[in-house]
Amino acid sequence: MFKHWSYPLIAFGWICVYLVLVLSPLLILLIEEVPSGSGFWWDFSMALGFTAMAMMGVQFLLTARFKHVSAPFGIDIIYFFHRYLAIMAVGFIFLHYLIIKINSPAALGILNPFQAALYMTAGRFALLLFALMIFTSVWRKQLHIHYDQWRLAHIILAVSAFLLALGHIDGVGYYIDAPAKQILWSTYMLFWMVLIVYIRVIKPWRIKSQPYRVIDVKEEKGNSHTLVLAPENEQQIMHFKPGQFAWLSLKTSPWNIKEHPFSIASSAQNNQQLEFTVKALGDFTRKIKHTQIGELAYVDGPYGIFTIDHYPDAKAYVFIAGGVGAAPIISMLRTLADRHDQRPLVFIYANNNWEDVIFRDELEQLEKRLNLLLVHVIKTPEKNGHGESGFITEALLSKTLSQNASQYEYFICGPKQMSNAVQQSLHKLKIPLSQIHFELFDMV
Amino acid sequence: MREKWARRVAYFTGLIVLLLTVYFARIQNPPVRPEINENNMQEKSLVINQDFALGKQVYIQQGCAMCHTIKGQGNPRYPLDGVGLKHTEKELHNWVIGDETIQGLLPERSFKLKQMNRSLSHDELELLVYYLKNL
Repeated sequence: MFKHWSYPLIAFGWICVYLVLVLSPLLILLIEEVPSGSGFWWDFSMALGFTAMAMMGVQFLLTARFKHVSAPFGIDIIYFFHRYLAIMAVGFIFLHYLIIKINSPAALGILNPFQAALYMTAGRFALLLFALMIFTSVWRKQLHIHYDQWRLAHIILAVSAFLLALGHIDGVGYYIDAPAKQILWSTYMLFWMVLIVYIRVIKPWRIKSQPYRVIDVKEEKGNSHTLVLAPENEQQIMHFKPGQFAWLSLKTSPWNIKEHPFSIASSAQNNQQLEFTVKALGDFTRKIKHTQIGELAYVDGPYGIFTIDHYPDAKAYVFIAGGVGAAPIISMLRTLADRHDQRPLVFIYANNNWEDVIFRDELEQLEKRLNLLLVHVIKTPEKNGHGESGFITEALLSKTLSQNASQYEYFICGPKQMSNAVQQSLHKLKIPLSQIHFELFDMV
Repeated sequence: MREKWARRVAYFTGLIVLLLTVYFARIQNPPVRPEINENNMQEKSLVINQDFALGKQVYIQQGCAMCHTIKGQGNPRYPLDGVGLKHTEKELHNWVIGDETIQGLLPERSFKLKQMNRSLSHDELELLVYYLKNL
């Protein structure tokens, strides 16, 4: 698709597109006759309301998983961006309301929804729903909201609040009374509606038309299982880069919004089947072991920029993983083995105990096929245990890596605490930040 | 590093949006020298009586402040201060009920909204016009 060296330029381009989309309502307001000002605070409040709505509309675009949009950044960062932008947009909407409340409270009219103008009630409810979305997203775990339930509620709240806000804007009729402005504003809103239909109807339909079948469920060490999928119809298996991930739906259709992201563990050179290795950590992942051979599965992918294929000229690769974070790493190692790649590789793999080491036997085999230095780090080793004991520390990294370490590409995947600690250690070892790669997944 | 840059870009775009909305409001409301306008500055002694108070209640009840402002209260886009000096009672009545004589003088949406005041009783309309006439 794009050459990796062009990604910074493409990323800058998409940021500019984002700013244009968000600020276009203000430009629409200024066409044709420009109404005389109603006071700085009033017009500031109105402008905030319009741009906040545009920011909210852009959230649908950000989370639509368009590969051309996410490719330069990595979709994990897109979701991270979405989180911060959404919080700011709701903050602007609240500020829009607060300024009127302080500056011109009589303009808000009656609070009672049975007596107030419908569009004012719509605006109030939109604000409440947006605030509820932020609250349940930021504190989902503390509120003990199940992920699947949260996700469905999040989508319903987002669409409802957005439509109510549109009704509020239309009812107020502010700045959109001229026919040309009405056409432009309607076109703008129609774009967002079409986008929602694409995300929730068309895309799931396309995914449903290319199902996969579960052909094997393999038990792995460390309370994990590997699902092996093969395409159901004549369609080609999904092409992916080693280290990428996909959203997987099991026992449900793509419309049911019950998909979960997992790294693809199979070799990218394997065009017969896909493998996902999943550790039982949550409500959904604990059910993976009960998956029946022959079940249908739906795969939306691939996504992610956590892949060796973006750095094909690296002198060496260093992989650092904890627990099931080895899943994308094993994909990269399997792919390198299938490509007969003999450049130096290091894999530092941390686990709680020796029995939990996923892919333990296969890694021994890969050591023979590749120029691979494998270092196990066991938190609680047995007597006469294998590998290093404790955690992945700066001292361990310094001891393991060669003098040319600053020239290698580093891939880190594991629990957030481990990932952060390893990044800091590598930084202290003078490894350039641009050569350290990781993915964020604990968004909510 | 990616996380840090994503956070910075998010804050930066938020700041850009905020600054441009401030700029928009600023160019919509350039600073002007206050002009002494005899009509605006003329203080009419208001007869605070029961009819005026009742008319004000009708004004509030109809939610007129959502589109109009009086003495800084309400929507500043269409101020009504001194409107009683500019229009006769008949003209005010026509404005309040969205009479056909004023169609074209205001946006179609506003014109239709005003016609909702036709549901007011004769007495309520009179009180509202009295209130506006004495602003």
